[in-house]
Amino acid sequence: MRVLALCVVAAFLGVLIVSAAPLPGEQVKAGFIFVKGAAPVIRETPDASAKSLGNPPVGARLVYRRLIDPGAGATWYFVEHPGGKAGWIAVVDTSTTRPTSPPPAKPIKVVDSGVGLATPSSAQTAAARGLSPMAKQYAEKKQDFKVSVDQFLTLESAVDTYFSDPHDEKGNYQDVTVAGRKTKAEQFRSELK
Amino acid sequence: MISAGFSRRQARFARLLPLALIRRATQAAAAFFLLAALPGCAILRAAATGGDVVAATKDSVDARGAAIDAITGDEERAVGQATAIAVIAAYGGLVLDQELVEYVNEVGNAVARQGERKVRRKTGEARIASRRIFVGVLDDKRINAFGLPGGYVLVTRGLLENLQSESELAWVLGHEMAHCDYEHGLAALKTQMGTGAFVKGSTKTGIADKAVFGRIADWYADFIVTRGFDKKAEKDADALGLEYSTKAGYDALGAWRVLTILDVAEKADAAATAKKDASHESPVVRYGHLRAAIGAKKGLGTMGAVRYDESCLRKLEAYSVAKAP
Repeated sequence: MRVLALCVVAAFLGVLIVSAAPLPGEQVKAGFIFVKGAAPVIRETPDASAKSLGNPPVGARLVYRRLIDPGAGATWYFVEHPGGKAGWIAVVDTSTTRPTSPPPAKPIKVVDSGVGLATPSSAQTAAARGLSPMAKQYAEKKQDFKVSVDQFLTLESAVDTYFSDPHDEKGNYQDVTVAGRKTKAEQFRSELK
Repeated sequence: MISAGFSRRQARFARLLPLALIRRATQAAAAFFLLAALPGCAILRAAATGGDVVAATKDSVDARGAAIDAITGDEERAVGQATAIAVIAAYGGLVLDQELVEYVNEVGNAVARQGERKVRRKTGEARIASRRIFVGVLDDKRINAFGLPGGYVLVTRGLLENLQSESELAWVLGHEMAHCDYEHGLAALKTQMGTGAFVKGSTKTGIADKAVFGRIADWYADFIVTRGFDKKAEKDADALGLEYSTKAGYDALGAWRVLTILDVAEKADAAATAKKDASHESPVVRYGHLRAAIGAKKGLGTMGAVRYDESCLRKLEAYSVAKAP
């Protein structure tokens, strides 16, 4: 009985091992592609005659976790269908760029903190106020940190402006239950689908 | 190691088969059950963001806890800011797109509000009471994220580009915020300070000591970028991140999806895998820790996919287009 049980377990494990074996040319790689073409199909296996699992919408962005690359570039991507099913999509049905143009970027104007300058202007001094004196002193000693400091302060300032709840001189912000803030957060959550 | 937890009965069975076969079969079986639990996703192997060092005995943890109490909120922010600047410099700067910054901070703060900071033993109050966090996007293709003291969280565009939904982002940000809340960074820093590494022969260095702050910040930036926290801290952050994100209304399976992504990224980078395997659990094991908590709340992990695409992915694409020569 015990031997029979062992055989069953071994056979089960054998099936699992075989099923986990990679396909020829298969690589583990993370990335994303966009669906294109007249009739894109996600298939059960990387084979044009394999069972269809569905048709992803053209323009959809799919992440892949594996691909088949026999040497001259990817031929199939293992992707997840937006509905949840995973399968293979042929490279001819994909593009590395989104078919539609992205909306224009809205770059934030980077503040000039004057960190590292011998005589920063008063505006620069004001801009650097978000930085702790210790962090400022640290950054001033590093010649290549000027851009990083400016970007960091720009980020802090942008987040402060966005949330628009004031903080005290030590950087402590008001409680999150501030009425307007709470309403905004609830609206953000309600739009989650 | 998966084999470390075998019972006596399993060990007897193990003698009948080569260990490597058992290990592979166990991994395959775990992957199989994960796949069964979530049709459509491929579980692979290890993952995470680094690993170190902060190993300590219970006694020293207690001593360290008391020592951490002495760090002020200002000092914590200073370390966080200095480290953030160093990480921004090391990772090619920030993506400063207005709508992207607003979006990731909205998600981050929605998640952060669900948690709370550890309180100091002496005062019974948190060092920093505010739940405000600052989320920045690093302009780097590598997949990584950092939770820094003071509530500063940095995620790479490489990580964002490999996510598909807001639920996944919420778990990532919850995980990093948990590192801040549970002060894993300060604990590591204090342990290092206790060794006298910053001032030879002295273990009583304060963070505010101007002469050594630079060395402290350099060490911490290197620690967070190249080594990271230990397994226990990562496990805690995994669980807390899940708690925060689900309380905020997100889909619990976002966590699982992120673990598979990290796994693939590491598999594609063998050197990184070898380094991180030494200090991190595999994602199968990490998912095992989270499975019970995920169980009752799981969906597909894709909640918020549409908004994520519009508010994050398209903004990153727009930024790339604008940046291209």
